[in-house]
Amino acid sequence: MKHKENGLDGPCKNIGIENSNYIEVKENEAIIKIKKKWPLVDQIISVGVQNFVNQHNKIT
Amino acid sequence: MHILCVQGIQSGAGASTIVANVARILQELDQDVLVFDLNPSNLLRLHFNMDWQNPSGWAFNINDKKPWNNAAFQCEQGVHFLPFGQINYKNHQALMNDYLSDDWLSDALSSLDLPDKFWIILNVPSELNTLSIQALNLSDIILRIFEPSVACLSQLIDSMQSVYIHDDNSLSNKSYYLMNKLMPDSEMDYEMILIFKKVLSNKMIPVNIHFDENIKEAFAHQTTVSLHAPNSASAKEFRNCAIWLISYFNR
Amino acid sequence: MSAINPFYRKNKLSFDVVLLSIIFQPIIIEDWLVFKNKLFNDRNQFYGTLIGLIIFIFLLFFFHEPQRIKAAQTLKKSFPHIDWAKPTFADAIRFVIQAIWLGTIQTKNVYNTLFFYKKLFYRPKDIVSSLFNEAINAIGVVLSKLEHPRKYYHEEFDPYVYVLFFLLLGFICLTVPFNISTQIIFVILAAFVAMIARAIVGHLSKLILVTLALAVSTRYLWWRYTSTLNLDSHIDVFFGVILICAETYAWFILLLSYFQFACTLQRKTVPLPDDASLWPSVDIFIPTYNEELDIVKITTLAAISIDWPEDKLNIFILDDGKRSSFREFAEQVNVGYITRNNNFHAKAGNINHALMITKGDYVAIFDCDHIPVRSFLQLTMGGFLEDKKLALIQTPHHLYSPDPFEHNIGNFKKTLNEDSWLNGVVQDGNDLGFCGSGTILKREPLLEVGGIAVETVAEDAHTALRLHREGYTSAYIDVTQAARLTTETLAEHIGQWILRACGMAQIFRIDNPLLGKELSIEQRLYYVNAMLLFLGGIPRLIFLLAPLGFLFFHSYLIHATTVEILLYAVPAIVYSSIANSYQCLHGKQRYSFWTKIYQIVLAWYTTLPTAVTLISPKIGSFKVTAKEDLTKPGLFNLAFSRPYLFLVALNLLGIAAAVYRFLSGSTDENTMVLIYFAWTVYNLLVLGGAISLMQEIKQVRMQHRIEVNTEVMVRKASGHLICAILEDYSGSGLGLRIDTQASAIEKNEKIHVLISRGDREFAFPARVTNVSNGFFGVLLENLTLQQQLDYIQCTYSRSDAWVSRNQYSTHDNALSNIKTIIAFCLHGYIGLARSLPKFITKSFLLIGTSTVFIKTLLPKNIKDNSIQYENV
Repeated sequence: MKHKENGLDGPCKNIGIENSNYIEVKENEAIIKIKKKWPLVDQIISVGVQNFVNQHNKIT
Repeated sequence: MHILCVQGIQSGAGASTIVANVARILQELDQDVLVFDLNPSNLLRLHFNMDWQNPSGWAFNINDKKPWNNAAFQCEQGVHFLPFGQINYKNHQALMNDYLSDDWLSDALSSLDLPDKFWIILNVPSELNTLSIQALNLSDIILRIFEPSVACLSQLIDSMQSVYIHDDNSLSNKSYYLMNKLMPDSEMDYEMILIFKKVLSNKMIPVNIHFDENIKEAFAHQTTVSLHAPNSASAKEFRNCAIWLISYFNR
Repeated sequence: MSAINPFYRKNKLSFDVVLLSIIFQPIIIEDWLVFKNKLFNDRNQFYGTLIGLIIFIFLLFFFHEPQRIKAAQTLKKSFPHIDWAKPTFADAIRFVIQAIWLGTIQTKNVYNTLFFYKKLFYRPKDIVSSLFNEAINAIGVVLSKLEHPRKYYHEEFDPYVYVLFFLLLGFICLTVPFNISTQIIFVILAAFVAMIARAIVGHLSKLILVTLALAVSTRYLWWRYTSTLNLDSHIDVFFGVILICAETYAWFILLLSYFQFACTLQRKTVPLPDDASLWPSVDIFIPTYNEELDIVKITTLAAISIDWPEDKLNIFILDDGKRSSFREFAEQVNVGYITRNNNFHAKAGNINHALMITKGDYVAIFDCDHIPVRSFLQLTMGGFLEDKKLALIQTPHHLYSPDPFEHNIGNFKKTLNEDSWLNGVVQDGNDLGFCGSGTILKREPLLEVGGIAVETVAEDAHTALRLHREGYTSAYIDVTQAARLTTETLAEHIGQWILRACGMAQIFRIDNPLLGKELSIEQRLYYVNAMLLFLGGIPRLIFLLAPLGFLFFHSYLIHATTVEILLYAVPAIVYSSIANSYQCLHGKQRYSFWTKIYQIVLAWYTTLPTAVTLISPKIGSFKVTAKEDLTKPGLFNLAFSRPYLFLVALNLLGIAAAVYRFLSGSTDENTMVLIYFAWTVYNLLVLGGAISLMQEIKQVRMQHRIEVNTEVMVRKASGHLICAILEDYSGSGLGLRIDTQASAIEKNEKIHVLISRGDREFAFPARVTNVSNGFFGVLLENLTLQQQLDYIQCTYSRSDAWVSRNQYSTHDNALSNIKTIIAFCLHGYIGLARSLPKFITKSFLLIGTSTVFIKTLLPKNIKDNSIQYENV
């Protein structure tokens, strides 16, 4: 997950830190843990998102 | 006209509640609002203090061979609303299959001849039928309501894959997602938020509606939260939501 | 008797005649006089009628409601210090003084009221100032375009030619003798240039100011050396030489700090590669000895929360206290726990021992009260990957509890407490610093130089020096990504300073940075500057005593006329303090009068140990015992300020001597006496400030609450959600402000506080412990480990938690600053007076109350916006 508006907001921009440079490592790690914990979620996410991407590629 | 569709990803996600509350807040913010209930459950009217026994509504009128637009009401605070009306299953089937043409809704809305700045909020059921598809196609923005549950996640991914959202990009481009009934002290919710954020990323609007007793109480009083508990956090959340919508249309 | 003045009758023109004759022809006035004589029998009757008429008109106004309100408002605005409900006799005086003030000096309101807020007329002052501002702005705009002089720099020219040329030019400029009139012109021109420079945005203006200050002060010193040395008698030579040595020393420090400023690098953070697998592994060391677990806990949890891949981030608590509670905590949160058999070399030894056991590519050191934010590593580590020679990165920190000095000021005036203006003194914003905490070191080079240096008490500076000697570089990234507590008591604080000063002195004896290999000139100068800064107490003490040389012994310290002294010395002082206070030296920190007071406080204590260490570096243990001695309770106030009381007494005697000399001495000496008198008064002021700083009110040891202002939500046990404002937080509790009308929350109620960070949100179970007037103190209860982590992430280790606090500190309005400074300095003497015998205190009290009373008589500035035209 690349950083969007999380945590690093307002003031950091003023000191020249680009938000896009920031990677939310902890969040990404947490997602991996959640997927391990709930297999159904893992199925839905990985299979579903994969299908979605495939379908999207077919259309475009 | 600003046409806003509110649709739950699964029924029970709280679309009607959000429609009523947001409409009321928009009215408070000096916007003219018409709420159009397309959901046969016909619950929306109860938020606006309409008598439970009163079966009136646009579908009921059509069934009764009366002009459909005769069923509009205005609540004390000024929100215009068109309830669905109490009709039985057989009549509902007949209505959907026989009466409603493919562009009934757009004809209906244009026949109302509303001023430019008028908000039309369509309460769309989560099931797909001719009416809801018309509504989705017609709208300027679709607000899809979900709870942070695995069931909702399943439905969400399913609908994203299914044809009606992704046959072309027009529907998915104007779809935004709003989280409802969030309980941050539940560990499951807390984890599901992360998952939803990852899946939806910038398509989620920056407001969440929390699970709040005030919302239930407000419904029991047949009113909206902004009237029942104006200082509550939920009232503020609905206000933020309304403000986000206004800024969406203004940009 | 009227007979004495024969013109009495003739000259006496009545008021109305004068008034009428301005407008009307004499004939009409004669008519009026006839009319008047017919109507009124005598003068008294006329004036009686006139006054009655006026009162009638006023009454008309008075009964006309809107007019009355308007008039009352204007009066209230124009005379804010008068209580119109119950006017006293003093109010009458206030009224007169304020009326004169408004009529003469603060004329804007009168103009606006008279001319109905329309800009019909310009005040002469406005015209002049606006023209002046326009001109300066225009020049400033032109000069701003030169902001990047590099563009105009042609590379085919040899820079040495430039340097030589400018050195020559500079030498001529600085040494050419001026007579008084040319010096006046020089001063005025310099003032003009300074004003223009202020209008320019950016680095260039600072450079101009610095150059100007340098030029003026160098000229001053040159003048002192060439034409003011007085070698008539032994005593003159004695005092004169001491003074000029101190002045030279001060000039040299100034020069070095300017040089350092000119070399300041504006380092940007270097982004890391997108692929996190390329990121290096980092060990975080949290050395602790006797600190409480609560403090270490927050730091450890914050370190765990740092956004860095889990398998590449290893955290170790280095516990020299070998406490089982720490071991348990470390196991509980799954971080490393390292102890050793001995406690050799304190912190340095502790880290070195851990270096042997661990194996990450980089080592980040955080003192146990030093809380990093979660973005800490991502914003700093990029530099290492880009520059392979970089071995050390230092970051600044925000001090979230007021240090003893700030604390003492805070007692005096709360507003001064807002940002840590002392940060810049405590830690120099320079590329070469290493202050022992909040530092990232590269393991390889560190091992190459034998780990953290243990030979001196300033292990941090010494290690950095060794790294530099091996050809490695260091960097200072000016992004506040950590926060820490400050020392609790004045004694500890001074002790720390003594330690650092002695450490620097030791370095100079053991491993002199001026000698030896591989150091660049910049680096050498940096170390010299740091050293001199610690020895800077001596010249400060000399300046405090110098005027007494003249006042007591009648020794002419500066052999020049009064006018010359004023023309040379005053600009030198003014420019150097302008250049300093324009925050140019330390970026954002205020480096002005406050710092001066601060350093004077430290001067006495650091001077002796530093000098001793410089002579004999082996007496290392001396400082540590000194520190322990100072921390004993009961030694505070008086013991600390005793040397300063002595200085105050001397200066007071000096005042008396000045008065004596003024009255008894020859008249041509009087101006000179006045100068020294002013100098002594200034010294007394500064000393008052120092004493004020030292008047310590013992801080209550507690978890410091950090003030914030964020929106949060509260979920009651019943399931109702309420909006709240989070006003402060600490490691264990929160302060919330809730609109009490919205809902009732009772004491001991269990609630959940929902705090969001970015677009995630966390709920923390808590109990209400304190309810007062819309403010609710809540105590967090039964947090799980994950919740504790989340809590730290929502509070202390938010990536923007400390950034904004230092970012927007702007320098104060000069006038209000001077006012507060004087008030602050006097505050010191008031405090002193309290500890004197009763009968003296009483008289002081009388003086105090009368001063306060006189102050109420003074005119007040009207700051109401509605009265000023510009805002209407």
